[in-house]
Amino acid sequence: MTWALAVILLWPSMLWASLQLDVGRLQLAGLSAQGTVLFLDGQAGWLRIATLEVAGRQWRGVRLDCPRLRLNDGRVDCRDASIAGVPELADARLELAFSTTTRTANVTVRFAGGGRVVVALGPGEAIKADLAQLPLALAARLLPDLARWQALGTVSGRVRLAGARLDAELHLAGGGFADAAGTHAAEALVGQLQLGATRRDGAWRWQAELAWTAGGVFWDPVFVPPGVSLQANGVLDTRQLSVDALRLQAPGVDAVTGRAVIDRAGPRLMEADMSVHRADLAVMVPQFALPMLAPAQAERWQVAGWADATVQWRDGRLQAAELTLDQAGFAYLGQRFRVGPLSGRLPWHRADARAGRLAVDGLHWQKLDFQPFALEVAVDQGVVSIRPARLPVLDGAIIIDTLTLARTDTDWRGEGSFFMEPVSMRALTRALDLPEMAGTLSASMPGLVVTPQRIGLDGALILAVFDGYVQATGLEVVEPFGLLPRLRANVVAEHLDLAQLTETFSFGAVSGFIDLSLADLQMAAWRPLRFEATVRSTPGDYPRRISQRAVEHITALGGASASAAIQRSFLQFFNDFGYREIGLACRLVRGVCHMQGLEGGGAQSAPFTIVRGGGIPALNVIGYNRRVDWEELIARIKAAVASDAAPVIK
Amino acid sequence: MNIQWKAALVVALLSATLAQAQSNLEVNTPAISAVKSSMAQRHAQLAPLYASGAVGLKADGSLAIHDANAVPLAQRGKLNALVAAENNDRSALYREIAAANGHPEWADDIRRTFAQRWIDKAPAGWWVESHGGWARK
Repeated sequence: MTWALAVILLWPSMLWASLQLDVGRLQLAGLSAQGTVLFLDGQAGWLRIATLEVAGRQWRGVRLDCPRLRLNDGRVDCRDASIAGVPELADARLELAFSTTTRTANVTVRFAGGGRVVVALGPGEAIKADLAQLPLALAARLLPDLARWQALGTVSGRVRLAGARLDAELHLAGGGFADAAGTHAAEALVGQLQLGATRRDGAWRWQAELAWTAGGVFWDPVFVPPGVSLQANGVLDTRQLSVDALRLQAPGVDAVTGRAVIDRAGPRLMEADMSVHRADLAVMVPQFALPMLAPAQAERWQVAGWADATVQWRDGRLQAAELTLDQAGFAYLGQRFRVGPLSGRLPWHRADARAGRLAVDGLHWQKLDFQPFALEVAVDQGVVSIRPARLPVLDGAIIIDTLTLARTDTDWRGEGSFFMEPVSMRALTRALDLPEMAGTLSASMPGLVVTPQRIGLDGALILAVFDGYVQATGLEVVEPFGLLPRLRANVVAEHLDLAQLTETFSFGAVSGFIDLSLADLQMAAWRPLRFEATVRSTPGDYPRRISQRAVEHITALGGASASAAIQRSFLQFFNDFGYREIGLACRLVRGVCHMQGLEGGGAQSAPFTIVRGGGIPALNVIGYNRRVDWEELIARIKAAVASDAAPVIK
Repeated sequence: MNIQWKAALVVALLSATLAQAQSNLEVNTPAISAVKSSMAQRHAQLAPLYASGAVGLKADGSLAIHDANAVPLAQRGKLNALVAAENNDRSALYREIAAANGHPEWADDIRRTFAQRWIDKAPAGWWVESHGGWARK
């Protein structure tokens, strides 16, 4: 403590009991007062300071009023004092005690809203401060930018500065903050900070321990629960803050460790090596990743397993990163789509290509289970390429020929090609709980494009079924990860054996072959929105018979009473009939199927031929209703299939 | 005003909006039914949020968080998710109605029409956004 007593002027005033002392400049640990004048008047007094500086902050025209002042044996005691000119202490009551013999000072500040600070300025550079339930809102008085955060809570603890050593132990209770919209807020925070620092050669070497034990923080869009502890040490100088070692523990992660260098100008993270050890994906992904990446679908994803991660930051930017997955699993929409357990590592480096590998022990879509497979991955800056891979499913496989995923300006985009080793329809239909069919499914897709908005497939999906084939081209799924995935395709089928088809779907018995075209098919949530469908007998020479049951079903599609005509005629005595041609078209628009028969278009009320008879006995099936509600038609088909018992012949 | 009553009101509002709108807004397709059903299910969760002012109706036919302070801190992430999911559905609804009319390019007009109707029909006490900013009806 140094006294720079520039001028001491003893001024015998008109009132002998009054005394004015021009102290000039006063300097204590961390405090400097210039133009200081002390005025004493019996039991009271005041101190005027032209310029006061404490810890780098400056106030002008400060006046300290002491209504109860005692001067005794080199001690100055000032009780119940108030201070003007320091807005931060406007509502505070002060007690000051100063000893000229020990050169120590004690200042107690009591704030009107509660909270007390006791500061002891000792000899040398020693400062002790004890804080008791100091409202955090007071911080806004020192830092006006904080005012909009509506800080809550109190801080208690102690700070000791002795020469080159600083120790602090602070407890926060009932802490909180909120911005006006409530999108960045905290409530009921309880925590403590222990800080120790030693100053040497103009730099502070520090160690800190922080424990956050209660309360929560919402930082849009992430909610962070308590239970976080942090230990760190490093060096702070005028240029940078170095964190030499850091260890953080939090719910859902064993530990985060690392080091970092922060440039104080900015401030900017210049260098860092961070490692995440054994993060529980079931906790971390819903808490951090999904709210940021897919908030609308956050509840649709289930995640399990563990992950380790490392991040290298150099020269102010990300240099390298690596993600290691251990038994990770992802499920979308309940169990409709599941991947996992998935293990392996995915590295990334700013400058070089890196190779990674993922072992996928399970991939399930609906009821289709893929057998385990491995993906070899090359990560070259922003592009992930998957090496050719074989994904076995049932008795065949999907072969990924090429697949690359790359970041775009706004999103990501995948491109590639794949084909299928034939899967037997018998195994596929069994796996999907469909009526069992013979045949094979294969695909050749030379052009696959995947973006978050669209999956496009150039090429063809081919089903060899019912002695013919079905080919789907122009396949496109719009918003595949959205609430309502939409499928578009053009489907053609040739030479489907009606005998196998009708037997499979229990629709009576029809012999012969049909060709089918389903143009401009659009589906949402697996329900058709629109298409233009035509079914025609395949040209050629082959036996064509249709059973009475099949006729019943076809006519039943036109309405409940349509089949009655057969049963009233002599035709009821025949089990099957010859036919020359079958033809039906349906253009689905806005839930209504607009039908045409073999003749093509016609007036709304004109009957149309669905089955043209031939041979003996011959039978024509005529449709009368060209507009049929799609939902009703589906219900009738289901009813017809369900009731495929022998018709009652009356 | 209890929550159930409000939920019923808004479901009715949705139907009334569709029913009273021009004929091309009445169109129904499987996709539109799916979206409407998803919105109706979500409404029970949204109704108290409209009433408390946490969520408001925007002039562009979407929802926005008006005052997250009205929701407990730990629920605010869920609030975000609800608003995002509802806005996804609403965009899908406008798009599907336009598509069902055979005019995908009408989606923006349909969105504006709905936006105005949502705001007109909102009960007193709800927050709505106009060109002048947020206001309580």
